[in-house]
Amino acid sequence: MPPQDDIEARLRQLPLRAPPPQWRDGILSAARAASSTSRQPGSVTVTMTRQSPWQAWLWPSPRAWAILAGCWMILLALQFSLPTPARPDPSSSGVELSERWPVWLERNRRTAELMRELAVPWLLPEAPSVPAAWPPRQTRWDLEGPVQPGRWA
Amino acid sequence: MNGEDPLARCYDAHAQALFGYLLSQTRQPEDARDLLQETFLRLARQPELLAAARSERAVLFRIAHNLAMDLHRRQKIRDRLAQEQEARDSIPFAPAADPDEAAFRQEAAQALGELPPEQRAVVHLKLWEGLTFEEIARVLDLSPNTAASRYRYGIDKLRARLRRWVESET
Repeated sequence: MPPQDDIEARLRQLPLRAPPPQWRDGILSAARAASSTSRQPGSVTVTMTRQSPWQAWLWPSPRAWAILAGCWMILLALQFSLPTPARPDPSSSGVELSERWPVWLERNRRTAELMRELAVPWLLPEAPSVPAAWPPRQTRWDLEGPVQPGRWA
Repeated sequence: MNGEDPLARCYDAHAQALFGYLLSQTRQPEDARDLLQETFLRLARQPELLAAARSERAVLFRIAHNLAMDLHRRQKIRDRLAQEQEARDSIPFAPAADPDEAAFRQEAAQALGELPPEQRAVVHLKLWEGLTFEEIARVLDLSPNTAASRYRYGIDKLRARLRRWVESET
């Protein structure tokens, strides 16, 4: 910024025009009337309070800071109030599928046995009806009947 | 004048500065008067505006500036030529007895009036209120750099327009 020159200094010295004195009463009476319509009479207190250092630091957006602080408090409360989720067993994380597969099969077999002992038939898979002994292959052909010549033609 | 009434105390302390600013912005005494009254009406309705403020005057200037900007927006649909004619009679500076000084003030007012409103606002607050760019930025709700650049552009135009007044003195 250039140093202050003569024109700046001269302009700065110009006195501002004062409002006509007769305006004062009109403006103040209108302001008092507006004040009395929105508040109890005599309750207008235009005070210049000395700000605390905290207020000065948070100015000009104390509401925004308060909202941000509130959000953090809610997040912290939620963090401590909610149960922590169960973590996976770190010992099993590195186990290969091939090592777990026999264990799973064994557990499955024991479960099936247990269910069979408890006689819960509707939970068991239906066993295929296998005859005690298969007849010889030729007999099976006979049961179905002889192959007719030209049948497949 | 009235030490008991806080509104009267505020008026006596700041009305002249506010009126000068509003006259500089509106360039019409009646508009400046209306805005000055509206500024104090708002203060009367919301006295808590001052309670949380650093600077009483900064709050009042902010209210006045917002009102002036609203008026500018409304005036865009008016006849600009009529405004210019009326503006010639509106000088935000006190009258001077010396004819040369009166002529300078007249031309300074015209030069100031020809600045864009945003530059005029910054120049006024800097020259006649003595605010820093940070304070101006808070009043006008802009960045300090913007305030500084607007001041620089504005004062350059004033300097070019009023150069002969300074040169004739030296």
